Amino acid sequence: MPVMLNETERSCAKNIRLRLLLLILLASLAACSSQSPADKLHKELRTVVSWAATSRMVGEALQNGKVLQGYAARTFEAAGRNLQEESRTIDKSADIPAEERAGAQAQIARLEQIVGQLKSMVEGKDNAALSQQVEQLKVEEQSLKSSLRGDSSQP
Amino acid sequence: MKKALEIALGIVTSVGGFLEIGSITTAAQGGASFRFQLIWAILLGGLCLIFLVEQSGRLAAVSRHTITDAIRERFGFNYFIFLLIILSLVILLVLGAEIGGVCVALEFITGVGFQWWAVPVALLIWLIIWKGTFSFIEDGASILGLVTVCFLVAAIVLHPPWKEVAHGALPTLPASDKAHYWFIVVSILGASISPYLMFFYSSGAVEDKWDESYINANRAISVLGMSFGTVLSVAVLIVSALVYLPRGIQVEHYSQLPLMLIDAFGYWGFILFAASLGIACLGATLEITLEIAYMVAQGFGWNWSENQRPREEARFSLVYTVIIILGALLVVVGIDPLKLTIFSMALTAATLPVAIVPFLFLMNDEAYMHEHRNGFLSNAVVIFIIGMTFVLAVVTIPLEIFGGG
Repeated sequence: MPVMLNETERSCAKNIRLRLLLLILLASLAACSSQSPADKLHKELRTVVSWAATSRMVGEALQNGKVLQGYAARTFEAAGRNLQEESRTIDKSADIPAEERAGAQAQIARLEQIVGQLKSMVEGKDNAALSQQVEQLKVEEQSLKSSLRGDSSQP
Repeated sequence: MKKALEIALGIVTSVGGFLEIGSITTAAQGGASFRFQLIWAILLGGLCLIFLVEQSGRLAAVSRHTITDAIRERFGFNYFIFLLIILSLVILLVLGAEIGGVCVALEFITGVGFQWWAVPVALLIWLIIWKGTFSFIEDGASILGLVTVCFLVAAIVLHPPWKEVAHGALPTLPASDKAHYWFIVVSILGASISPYLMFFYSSGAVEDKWDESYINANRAISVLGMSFGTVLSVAVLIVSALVYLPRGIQVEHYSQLPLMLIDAFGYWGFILFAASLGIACLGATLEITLEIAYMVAQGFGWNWSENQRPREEARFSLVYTVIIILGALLVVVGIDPLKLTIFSMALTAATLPVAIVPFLFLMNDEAYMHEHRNGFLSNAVVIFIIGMTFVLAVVTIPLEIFGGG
């Protein structure tokens, strides 16, 4: 026998359906973004690579006279700040194994140092010394990229 | 002949005024993170915008009402106030982002921090609006904005794989980073379907005294102008995909943006990017400031016209003065313009339904539209947009949390 619902019951059922839909949506979004420690480290390292690549591109462009010095100095400053932030984020991520955290932080520290030197050189208008730092940056960037590739090839 | 010239000028201004900080950064982020995979989102946003802008112009030409006017008249003062509060808050954030864009462009050229430029830029905006007429502002900024065509030239110069570009027109899901992918989709749509564009277009049509004889001109301007504008956005995404992605650069900070055109044009690419960003954002800033002032003045029944002297419309002038100060304050306090842009674009997407639902009713109201009411296709598209904007409104905040970073 069909059960007849009154107006209040119908509206209540509709509300529950809407809430359920919203909950499912939120859960699927959360599932999309849930990260294992390895994923988390991978994501942070991608940001680090991004800043290393940005600094190298700016350094090379500056050597070839393709960007202005003021812009380059500000970008190196932003890169240094963001690398520092990444280092702090990794430090706070207790779920990432300590050994991997230490390795990543050492790489970031080396990058920070190079980017800091690049900034000082630009501010001191010492463009001649840029090429050596840019080369070092390239080496660090390649090493980061290969560790990222190794990371992603793991099962 | 006169109308043909007006159409040509209308198309030029639509193209020149299309790009702004929202469309540039969202397209750049899309290309840097997902190569050509998000071209479909830009095309979808552009298509929606063509329909909405055409209808805004038709409403103004047939009824001689701006959208704000018509909404207040048809839905009452209470709904108007609700709409005004919601839209003004979101548009104010967008204004802050656009002022930030002008300041950042100046930082690129001078090396002086963007916050320091907020007050001079605000003064410049105020002076242009105070002294300028509507056509001076609209045509001047947009014609200068044609410099943004450099993105299209760069996309061609960099020889993208056109077959792969064409594949990007069809939606596909990425293998990973799905939350980030959808967050960028929402931001791209928010940057494309900005309510302020529709509202400003209808106010402009009333300022230019459009009547029913402009219906075809309006169609040509909205279809051709917005289509070419969308092509420019796609060009930004293509250039970004070719320059940033192979190097592993993700666009997370505004200082990464000017590198975009260096591969194509060398030193001039850097200058062209700064000029494009500065001019595009200045144009958008003028339009947004005027739009909020138009909304308030039209809603409260005050004198409003950018062609009148400030003393003849003191309250309208006061509103835009206050708005410029508030927008500039967001930059002075040092909020990152890129973060503000992405946040405001996502929020724009979330607030779209409140502006578009009443619009559908207006476009089908015989009292306003006479025999020029929406046909089946126009209604179907607006209903699709409403459905899509409701989904965007629901998912924006969770995506901001899970995919915004």
